[in-house]
Amino acid sequence: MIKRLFIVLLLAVTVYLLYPLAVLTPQQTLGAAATHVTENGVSELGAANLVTSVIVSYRGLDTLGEVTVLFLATAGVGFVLFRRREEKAVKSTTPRAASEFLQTGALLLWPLIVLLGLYVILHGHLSPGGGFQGGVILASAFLLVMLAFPGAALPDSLRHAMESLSGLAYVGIGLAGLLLGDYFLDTRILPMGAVGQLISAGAIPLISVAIGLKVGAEMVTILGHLRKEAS
Amino acid sequence: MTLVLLIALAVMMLGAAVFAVITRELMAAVLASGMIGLLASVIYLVLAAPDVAMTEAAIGSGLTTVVFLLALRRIKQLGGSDHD
Repeated sequence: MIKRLFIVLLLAVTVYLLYPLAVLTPQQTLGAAATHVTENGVSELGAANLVTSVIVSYRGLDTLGEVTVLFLATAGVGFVLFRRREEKAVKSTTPRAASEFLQTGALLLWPLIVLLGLYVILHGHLSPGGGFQGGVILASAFLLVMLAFPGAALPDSLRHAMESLSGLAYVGIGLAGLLLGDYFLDTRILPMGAVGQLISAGAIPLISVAIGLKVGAEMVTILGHLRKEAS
Repeated sequence: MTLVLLIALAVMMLGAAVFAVITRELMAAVLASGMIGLLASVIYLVLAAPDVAMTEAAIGSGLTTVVFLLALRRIKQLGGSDHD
């Protein structure tokens, strides 16, 4: 009885929440912040891709926060799964090898996916993409190799060094913006260059690279922990 | 035209979601939930948000599916069955 009541209540709340979608008329004009970004974004920051200039510069502090959240998630996964390793070490079995198709395909695709990831990271200020997207693509390349070769793993020290150094570089660029520019994470500390060139838009490509490497290393770490737990 | 495509994609998403809930095969449910992410990324692409589409394709349909698959393998090792 009480279960039925809750279901009906939940349906009513859902209808109430979705009702505005049916009657809402979309806002026809841009808000003040959006107007400023669309009109002055390219000339202010020199990035052809406005989305990236918003993510990396206009709300760069939020992105730093997101990267921090991801770092904490990685640390949490490592903390929770670390304690089980000693118990599991006793009954560790050699994982079953993947099929030859998967192995050959993974070796064929791996460099191409890495190339795509690097492209997406480096061209974040020109075309769709950026640090986060490229970093995840990089991680998926390593994930493919991890699936195909259960024994393979990146050295821990390399991952940790990459993760910490890129995080340090991100904060370092932010502090450099504070010292040399006007505010924390000011991307105009480097020459702006011509809009549309690979080397342009100030520090945005550098921040993209830092975010990409950090996100990639963190994703690989999380999946490595989970794989170790599952094998 | 775009609207028809969007509605078709949304219906497919709903279908995949319902299938993921009602199927007894855990593996099929995991793959169906990965398909939801893939279709969502296509919708983002059609709605002119390629940046979001990229993230959704990589995280929603790639990494999340793998995390589920790893969890599934762990469950099997602990003596659970493939079925519900």
